[in-house]
Amino acid sequence: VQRSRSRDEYTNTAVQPSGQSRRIPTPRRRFFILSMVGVNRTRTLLLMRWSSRLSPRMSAAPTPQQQGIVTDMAARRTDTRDRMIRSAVRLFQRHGYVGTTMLQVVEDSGASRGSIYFHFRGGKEELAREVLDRSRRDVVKLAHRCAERATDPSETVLRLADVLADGMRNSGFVEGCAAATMALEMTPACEVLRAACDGYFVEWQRALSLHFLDAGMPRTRAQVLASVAVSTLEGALILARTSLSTTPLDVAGTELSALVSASLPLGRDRSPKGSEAA
Amino acid sequence: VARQSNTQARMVEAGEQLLSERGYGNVTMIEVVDKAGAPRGSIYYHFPGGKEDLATKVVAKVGEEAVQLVDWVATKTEGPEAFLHLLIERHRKRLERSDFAQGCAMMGIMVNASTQSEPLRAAAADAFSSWINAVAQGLTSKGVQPGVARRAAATFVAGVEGAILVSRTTRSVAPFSLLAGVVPGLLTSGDT
Repeated sequence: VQRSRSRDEYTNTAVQPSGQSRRIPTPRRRFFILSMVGVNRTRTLLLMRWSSRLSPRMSAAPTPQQQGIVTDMAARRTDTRDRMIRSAVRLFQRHGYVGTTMLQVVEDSGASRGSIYFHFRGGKEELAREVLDRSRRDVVKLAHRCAERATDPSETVLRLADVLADGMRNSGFVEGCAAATMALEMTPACEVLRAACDGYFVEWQRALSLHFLDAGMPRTRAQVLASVAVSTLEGALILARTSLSTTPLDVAGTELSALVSASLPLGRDRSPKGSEAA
Repeated sequence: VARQSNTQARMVEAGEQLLSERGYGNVTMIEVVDKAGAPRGSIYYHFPGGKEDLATKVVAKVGEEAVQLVDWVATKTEGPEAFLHLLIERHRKRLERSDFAQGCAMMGIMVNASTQSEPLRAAAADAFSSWINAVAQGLTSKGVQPGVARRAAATFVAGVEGAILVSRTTRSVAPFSLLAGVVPGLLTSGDT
């Protein structure tokens, strides 16, 4: 009894109400057994998938206690996943897609090595898509936050450039834009990532153009300025990183802000900042 | 000696193409020599410092060509607006010719090599600043105030690089024409 209980935690022994225990092989054990039978790896994995369907644990409804464990594990699982994505964003910003290994992500986030393909079945590409997704939401949020604190869109652009410059300076000029690094490395090669990078730029532009429209700028002009602002800030990020100075972002910020302010309808507050910047 | 420098030039050429397509981390020296049709043994003969060495030469070449292009465009155009428009046009055409595969090698190198190699970063910083200076000079020669010209040139170069980046991902040259649309504003914004 003592032995079977101690084995309990490791071998996934299901304790039956009757007191008898029946051992359900863990995936690892199942893999071992099947590989001993002498089938190759692919077939073993297929057989594993098939045999896991037969596993009684799968069909049996979980007890409330088990349920609790399951939700607890699910929470921990999303937490680990989240930490891994956050680490990956930073690492991709620094080293790019190719320069970042899954192992680095695991080490940086403090997750276990085995968790890589548990959380990201699709491997690095899936992780990269999550990174782009996260960065896209962050940059849209950033645009809205800058707009909320600004009195008019020209100030929004100025604030946006300031925040980007701060990020650059604080990281010691090594953390650029994750989407830009991936776009430059993977664009013709990987269609999935190209589309995700595309989404990043488009959403950012849309967020800005909404605020330009709100301030009464004509629609086409708002779209032109929003996309020029996004691409110029992206270019300025790379220049800043290269020159180890925030000057490119500061200059681009003030120039873009003056462009925006010149396109705002008269009668609105034509921001003294625009002329101050010039 | 002529053939030697020829091989090296071909390798730099091939390196530029590959680096602008895929970035620094994604290119190996083997690919470069294969693309250049040079023997593999020639890698460390021509570039004792390996990839870093090659990339530094690519950066120097790209920077020089960018400045030459600016000077050439300056002689071909009258007025600051036409000058910037033609520059945008040239960069757009270059990207289109490669079917959005080749952007700017300098960007491809810098986007993740700046954390790896300080000499490379310094070389790229020099190249970018001489490019910006050339544009500023071109603008000044066309009657733009020096202060305005400098700011406009810095923004313009960032704008061109950004347009290359976004065009590649969206597979459309729209960012270039949009940039062209703000050129007049860029040149007057400093006066107000």
